[in-house]
Amino acid sequence: MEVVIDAHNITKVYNEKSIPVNAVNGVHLHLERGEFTALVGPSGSGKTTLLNIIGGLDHVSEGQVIINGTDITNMSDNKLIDFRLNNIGFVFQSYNLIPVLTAKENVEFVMLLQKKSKAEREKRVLELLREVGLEDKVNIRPSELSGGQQQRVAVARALASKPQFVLADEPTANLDSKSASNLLDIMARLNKEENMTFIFSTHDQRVIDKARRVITLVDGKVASDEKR
Amino acid sequence: MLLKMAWRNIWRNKRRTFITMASVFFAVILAVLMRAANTGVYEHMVHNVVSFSSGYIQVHQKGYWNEQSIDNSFKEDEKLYHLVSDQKEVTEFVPRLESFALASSDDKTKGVMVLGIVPDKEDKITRLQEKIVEGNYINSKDRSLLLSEGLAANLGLHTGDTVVLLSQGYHGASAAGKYPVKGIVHFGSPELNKRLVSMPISLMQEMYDAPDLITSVSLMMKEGADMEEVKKKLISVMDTAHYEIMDWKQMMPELNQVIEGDKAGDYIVIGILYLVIAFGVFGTILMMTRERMHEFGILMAVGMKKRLLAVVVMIESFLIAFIATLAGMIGALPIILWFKEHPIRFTGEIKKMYDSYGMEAIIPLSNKLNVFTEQAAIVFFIAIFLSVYAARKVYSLKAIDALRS
Repeated sequence: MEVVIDAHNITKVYNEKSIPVNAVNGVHLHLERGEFTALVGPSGSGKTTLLNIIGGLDHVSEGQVIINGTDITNMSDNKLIDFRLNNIGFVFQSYNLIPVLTAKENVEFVMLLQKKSKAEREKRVLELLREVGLEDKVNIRPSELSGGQQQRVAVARALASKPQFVLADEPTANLDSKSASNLLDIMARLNKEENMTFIFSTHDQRVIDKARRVITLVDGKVASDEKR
Repeated sequence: MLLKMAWRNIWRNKRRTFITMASVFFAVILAVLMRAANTGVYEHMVHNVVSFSSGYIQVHQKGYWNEQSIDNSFKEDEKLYHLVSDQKEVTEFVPRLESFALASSDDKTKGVMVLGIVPDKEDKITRLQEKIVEGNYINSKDRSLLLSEGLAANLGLHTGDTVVLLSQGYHGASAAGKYPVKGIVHFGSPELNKRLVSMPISLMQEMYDAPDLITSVSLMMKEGADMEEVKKKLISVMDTAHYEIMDWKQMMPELNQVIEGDKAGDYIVIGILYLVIAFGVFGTILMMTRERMHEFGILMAVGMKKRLLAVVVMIESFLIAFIATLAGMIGALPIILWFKEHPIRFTGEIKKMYDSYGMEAIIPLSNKLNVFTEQAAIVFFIAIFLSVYAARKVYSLKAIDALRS
């Protein structure tokens, strides 16, 4: 299988010069294409920090992160932005869509940054919104969409750039159970049909139940790694 | 898309945008009004001063200004008059012959400045007739003259009395004459009021044995007209080997210095105004930037380069500043036009002071285009300059820090 994320001995220490806090402590992570993985653990266990590191948003204190064969450990901020644009999709807990853009524009925005042609953008945006069941909401702004609908737009946006994998930080935390279930079904389908790799950090048992691999973090260390 | 984002972003929080726009809008109005008043006052002052004396521009024989002698006079020339009157900004021109003399009456003698004038034309420029305090104004065929009020008092003369003038005429000819006083004139300028004798130019040419000779042609223009432009045009069409063309700034450098010194004070006041404006706009930009940190973090996370993000922030500031500046210019226009037509009038002691100098006691507002454009441009660039802070802030952001904010 093709390795998408290969992280060795990941350590992240905050406040190194005052009172050091080890958020992640010597984590090894090896994820292959098409995995549907849940990162679980109590609050403060390092889930979000680990996601930020493998998402190229934060730097490690020690260790090495290789994404799809590229070592991003010491990449500059500007290069990381480019790298994220072309390799990583993000879904955030609070949706975080661009409020002034419509659903269609939000999804299209990432492709615009990739300088994709208008025709390609139009085609993919409509395709993605159809996949997340929002083809009738293309010209609606986020403030007029429900939480579940916003999160589905966020998923479409995460996939728009055709990333290597999607990182989702507590994607169902703000959703009611019906919306959460709907969203999970969509992501599971995309995982199955398009072989898209998903990594979630979550407390939600429904997400954990859907995951085919569950990595449990405790105090910044991998306590268990269960494949189903 | 970036422009669309920026445009929609500025209307996301309408109240904030309106407050920012209002601060720039009123700043532009205030700055334009202040500048219009300053410029208007200077223009009015210059117009008053030059209309009583030199005119905006004078044409002399080359070398006259350095050696102001009747020997440096030149023949009246119709061709020259045509060249001058062809300039559309020139409202009037007057030939003058100027020299010095001793004026005597009984046992009193005073050094005086003698000015040969074309009475009708001169009156259009200097409104000399209005300044007659005793007697009547002269006409071109009169063989009498006008004395300034202070000089008449010093010589103890009244209308109908005779004054003797003694001088040196053209190329050493003797110049002497005895003339009745037809009128006494009050000048605002104390210098002119104590030493000016005005007489028909033909009479003076006869006395100084200088037939058809003049020492200057003075040009008047509309208040606020572009003098430099007219001067340039005249230099380009006239024989500068024979004539010298001088503006009032060259002929009255002390007046120019007073105005420039006064302007420096105005710049300090307007500088303080700009500072107040700058702090107001800066506060809003700071607020706009700080409250959107998390959003900037998201945009960077999904792959938007900091440079592009900074461009969006700059476009937002540009749009706000541009709309507000334009609105400020449009808003200032009717106020200026109103005050141009209905200038603020001084009363009381200030009015008396202005009257004593023969000037209208008003603050006229200048409606010159550059008053609007300069001030609007300055306020606009202040806003843009300050928005660079926001752009720099965005540029130095780290996605993770912004996401955590």
